[in-house]
Amino acid sequence: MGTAMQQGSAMELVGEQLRARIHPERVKDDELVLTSYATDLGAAVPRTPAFVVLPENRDDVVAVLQIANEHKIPVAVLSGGVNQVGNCIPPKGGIVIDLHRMDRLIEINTDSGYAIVEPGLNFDRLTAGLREKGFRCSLPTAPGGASPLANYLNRPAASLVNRHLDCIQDLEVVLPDGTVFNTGSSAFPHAGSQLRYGPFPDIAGLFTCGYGTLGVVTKAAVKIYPINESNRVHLTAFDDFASAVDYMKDLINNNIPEHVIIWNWQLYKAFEVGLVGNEYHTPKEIRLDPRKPPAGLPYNIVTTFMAGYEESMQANERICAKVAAKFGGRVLSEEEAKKVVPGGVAGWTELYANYRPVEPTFFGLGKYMVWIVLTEPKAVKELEKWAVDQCAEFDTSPICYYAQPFDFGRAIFFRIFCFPDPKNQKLTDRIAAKYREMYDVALKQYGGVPMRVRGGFPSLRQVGGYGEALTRIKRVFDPNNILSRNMGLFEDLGK
Amino acid sequence: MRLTTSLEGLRGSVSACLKCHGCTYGPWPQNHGFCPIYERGRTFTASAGGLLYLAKAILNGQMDYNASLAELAYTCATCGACDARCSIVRSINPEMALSDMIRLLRYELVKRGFAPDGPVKEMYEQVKKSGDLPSNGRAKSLPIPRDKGQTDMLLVADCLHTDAEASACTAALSLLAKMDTRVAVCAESGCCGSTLYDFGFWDELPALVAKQWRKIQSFGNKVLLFVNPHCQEFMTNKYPKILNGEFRRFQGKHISEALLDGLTQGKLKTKKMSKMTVSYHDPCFLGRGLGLYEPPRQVLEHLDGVHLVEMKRNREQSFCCGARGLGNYFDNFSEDTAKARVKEFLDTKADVMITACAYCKEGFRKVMGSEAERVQDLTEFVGQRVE
Repeated sequence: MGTAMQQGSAMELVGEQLRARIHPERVKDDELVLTSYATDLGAAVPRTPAFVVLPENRDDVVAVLQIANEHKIPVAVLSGGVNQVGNCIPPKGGIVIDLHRMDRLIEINTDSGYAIVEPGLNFDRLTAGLREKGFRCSLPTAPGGASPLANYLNRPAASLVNRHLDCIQDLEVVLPDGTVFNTGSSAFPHAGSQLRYGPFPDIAGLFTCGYGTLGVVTKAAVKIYPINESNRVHLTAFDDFASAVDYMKDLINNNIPEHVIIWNWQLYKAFEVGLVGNEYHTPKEIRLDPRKPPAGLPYNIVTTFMAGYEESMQANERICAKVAAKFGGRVLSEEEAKKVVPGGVAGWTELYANYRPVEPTFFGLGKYMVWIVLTEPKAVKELEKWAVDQCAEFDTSPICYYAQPFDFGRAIFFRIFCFPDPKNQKLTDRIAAKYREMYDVALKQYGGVPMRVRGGFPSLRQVGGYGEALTRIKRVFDPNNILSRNMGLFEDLGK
Repeated sequence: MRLTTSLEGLRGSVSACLKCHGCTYGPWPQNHGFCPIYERGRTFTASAGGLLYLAKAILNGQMDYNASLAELAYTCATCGACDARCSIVRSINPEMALSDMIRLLRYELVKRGFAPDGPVKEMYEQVKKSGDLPSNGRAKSLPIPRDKGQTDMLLVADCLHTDAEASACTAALSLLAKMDTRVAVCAESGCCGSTLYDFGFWDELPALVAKQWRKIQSFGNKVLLFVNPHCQEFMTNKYPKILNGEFRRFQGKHISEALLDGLTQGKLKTKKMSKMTVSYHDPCFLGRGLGLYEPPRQVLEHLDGVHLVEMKRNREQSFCCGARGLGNYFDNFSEDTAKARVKEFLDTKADVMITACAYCKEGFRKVMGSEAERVQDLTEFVGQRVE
């Protein structure tokens, strides 16, 4: 390892090399900068980096990776930086690559249907640019300052994932040794980004849910969609989750919606949480037992998002009413919706009808603690009951969840979350431990797979040859294991 | 005070920041960058969110208070642009906007001896000695009406810290006289408290505010008229939280509103003058602080020959002049921030920049060099164009 003095000299050399190849203004090592990049919303233990580098172009990224690779210094990359599980924080003494300054909206191709973006571009700017051209993109429930490129690489739960699970067309990637390549049709000279798959193996898939462990993405073509003549955010009410799932699947199987989301009552009431003047308003219902909605509040509200010609919207509304009745649900009139779920109506309209990011206001309720799995439609009906029962024992409220279909309902995404008092460390530790147990049970009993990797969980060791194959790829792409070591994904590498 | 007064009280807030950078740019769809320190530094550190993370680091023992932190905290212009943009952090301590949290950080720094060298330290030395900023005699130059008959309005004209402030008050009093509007004038002491609040001199604040409030009350129940938006914003939004039981709601009016009344009621008659294109810079404390965007514009539009063009960033998205960014984290921060705004003004091709804040006026004039006269206060400009 070397003495502290030797390590100090080595880092001085790294700093000199960085400043020689990248403009010195883009290389930071003062205490204030390093400290502010050492934590995120959730990371428990600060990990102070040695440098924060702010590249302004791809060549800067190539330089910092080559230098880090030469010296075997771990690197973590942030684009939007909206993360709460330490994804953007390297091990102590590593290098943070902050891509905010690479923020161009390079091209909007309305003919083929893609936008070429840099990682530092955020959803607010992308959607504003697309709106001017009569286009839209898939939107997650994330702040407008989040990065579309980074968000899409994490395969988000976004507004179009039922019909369009994949938001990425192609990528420009930099490997630790400085190799740069494009994926998809744009790798050919003179070709655009019209085709992700073929004629060669789909390498872009390696970087989706790659968490920055296999390369740094410096540019991407992302999918965009025209804003249609008309749209609807259609609301139906159900008193049990299983019926809501059946309703959702029926609509999807008959090609009605772009997307559907099932919300539980404490979540749709939580949309009313927010500042009113100088007071933080919280509806009293969100403090009740999540299994027992008060009279007048449906257990679930289902939002069905549709877009197309006005004639088809009218026809689809009739179909939604018919199918809802078939499964014991009912359509919420505009009047009733404004009474029962005023906050939701406003937010859903902005996000799913006006196609722009909306900041959720309920994060002020406490420390956001979330549990997410994906399972099959039949299994999710039982999983919901069980998960709500588990979380109801936390002595904290509200307990919020929503469920949505991925890829024509082949998988159902189920996200449940709560907001314990951040000062109550015992409770937050208990919830974190319970969530870990719940992942095991969800997998064994309901086939529920975690949404993402977090702190090395789930482990590649759980998936046999799949993990072995990925590890071999990692050894080729990043033999010194400098990329996103903090993810714990390839924890056995180097042992 | 009904304000959080220790950093520990902000633990929940500083722990809620998502690092989304929403505090650095304005609303959709324009998304204009509007945080002066972020526009300059372009790292997360130099933003309201960055300062919250540094506050969190102190609370968690990861870092101590230090001179560098003080320089950054005092370089922030506390323009309030970030305040309306983050509901998440604000929801934990609704009484405290983001810029208030930065002022609280300043208080903690000042208490520990980290007031940055330069104007901040000089002011602090004065305040420690006397509990107030010095009254520097400018009040004597105001054309205060000798007729002390019945008046409905009291012009609050303390905080004459600069010649520009005195000049704006003088112009205001002349215009009020033309309108035959009788006002009493309160212009004796040093500071209403807004400067102490802004710069973290909070130990001395409650006593000064109480003294100032009693003095104003001694004039009777009048409409309080302001030329200085800092004073108006502070007294409107913070006096209720500092004074507790003593406070009584008052009706406040900015001079632009009074001038608009005068123009629309025919008490001020606009002169026929040559055509002139102007652009109006929204002062942070008048616009974002008090929600007063239109009255100054309407005043300008009433003046004969005056054509108003807007800068790209206007109203809620106005870009700060940088005048109150007095730390040294970035070299020449105040001047460079003013220059950035002046460039926006020059892009409009307008003849004159009008503003309604003496700090803004002085800050812009300083960087306009030989063209300093192209920056004018609203009261002075109106005074030139009415009979």
